[in-house]
Amino acid sequence: MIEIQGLSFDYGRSQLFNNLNLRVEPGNIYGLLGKNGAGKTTLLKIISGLLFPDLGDCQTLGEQPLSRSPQMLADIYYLPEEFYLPALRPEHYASLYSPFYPAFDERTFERYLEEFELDLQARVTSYSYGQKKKFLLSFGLATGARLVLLDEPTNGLDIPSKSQFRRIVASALTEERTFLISTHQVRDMENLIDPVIIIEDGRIIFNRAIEEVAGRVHITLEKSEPDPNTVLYAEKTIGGYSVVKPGASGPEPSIDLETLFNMVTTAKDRIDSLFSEIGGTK
Amino acid sequence: MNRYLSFPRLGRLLTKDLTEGYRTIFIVVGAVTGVLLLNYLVGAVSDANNMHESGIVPHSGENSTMHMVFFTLVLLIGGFIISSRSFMELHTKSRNHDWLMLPASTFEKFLSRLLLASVGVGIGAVVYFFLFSLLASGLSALLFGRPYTIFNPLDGTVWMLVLRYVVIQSVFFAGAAYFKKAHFIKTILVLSAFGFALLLLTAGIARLVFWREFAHLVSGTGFANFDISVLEPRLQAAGEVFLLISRILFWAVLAPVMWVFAYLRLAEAEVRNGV
Repeated sequence: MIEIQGLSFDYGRSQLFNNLNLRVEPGNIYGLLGKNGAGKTTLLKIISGLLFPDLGDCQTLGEQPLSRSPQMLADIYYLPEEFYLPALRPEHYASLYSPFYPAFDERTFERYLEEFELDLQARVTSYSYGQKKKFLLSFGLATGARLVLLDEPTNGLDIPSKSQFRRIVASALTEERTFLISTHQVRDMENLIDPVIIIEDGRIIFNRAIEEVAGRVHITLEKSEPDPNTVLYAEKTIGGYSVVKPGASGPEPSIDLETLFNMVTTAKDRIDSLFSEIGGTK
Repeated sequence: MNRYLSFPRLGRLLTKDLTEGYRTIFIVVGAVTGVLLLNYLVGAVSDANNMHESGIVPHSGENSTMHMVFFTLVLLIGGFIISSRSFMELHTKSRNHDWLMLPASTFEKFLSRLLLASVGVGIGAVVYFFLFSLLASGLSALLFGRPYTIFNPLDGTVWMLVLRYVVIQSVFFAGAAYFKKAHFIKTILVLSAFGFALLLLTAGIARLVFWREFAHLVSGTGFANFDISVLEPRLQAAGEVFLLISRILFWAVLAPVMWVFAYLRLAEAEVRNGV
């Protein structure tokens, strides 16, 4: 679905990506994690053809994204963190924009709007930031696009909306469709994103399925500080220490994304050696 | 699905652009109508006073001239400003994502804006002015008992002006694609700079071609021995060639070059172009 090889990109003198490689397969909800300025949003923009790479090759849905062909654009829905909405009612908005998406499903759109409890008679510009986001997400999922790129989708959503978001995204996943979600709000994405991609210093340093991670490590909560030599990673949390140890998790694996992210970014060498037995970091 | 041009998709783009911009169109049309009506009615009051004092009925040709003057102003100034704003979204950080991600080809996006800013504005201005002259005439008849002549939309001069507008607007259209901010002003500045450079170039060429005549000035005899009649046949011949080249450049080269320039600029646009 997405194939990136040897990608380099810079903003003037500041180089962001240097020889970045990434492969994204259909039928998954990928979580794209990284520190501020790591390049998550830039990567989404390169994938969708909004930015052009300086070097390397990027193929999105079998096309060069910089061509911005109508076919490719109709098969991608990208919800950015900052967006524009015209002063139209939802129905009017759909009547103007949906004809550009051949696979648009009006019933699905209405169902999502209903589920998000949006006022259908109001102009979309009168919605709050969170409501606008829910509106665009409803539209995006109804377009039938095979690639859905979401940049910080849960920012601005209230607590019930976050669980609605998780439910709707999970239900909208099909074998042909892929979600790539860039986020800092990892708690909002628990039990949703899988695999997890971590980007740092212009490179993909981690790209693993949760099941694969759970087959290699387990996370426990311990009251006392563990011996650093016996664990992969430990961090102080409320009520003790979140400790990552080698060895498979239980039958129902639950990986704390925040701990996983901190472990990968601070103990990268240990993680590399742990996963090297099964092919190294992809 | 055609990658570059699909007429149904182009139709959807035009519908979308017009629908989203209809409020702005209404506001601008309303403001222009207000200003024009004021001018026309002040003119009507003045005519009524003159008629009352001198007993001379103003010639209807005066109305037609007034129509043409205001039509030219509305078409050229309004049209150039509209053309300069053709790609506002592309240069606006919060909006360029929406424009670039819309599933239509760059050529269709370019063509949609070009049609609206050139032919659309031209035809729109003619229809608007015809309707406006009906309104002004009706009001004048109602208030002063003397209707205006109606603006003739089938007049050849009107359509010649529209044609000239379509050519010149291409420069503002290219400016809209190229400049990130203050498109109209910057295009005017570039045009002025270009005009000045052309003037210097022409002067330079004249200096080279007519060096013998200029030699008089340099040798100290000044204008005393400078006989313009000697130059006239050569100037006329050169002038005809210059006129022909200018016509070809204006009618056949200028607009296509500007359109290609604008298209290429759009094709290479990225979200970081937004400010």
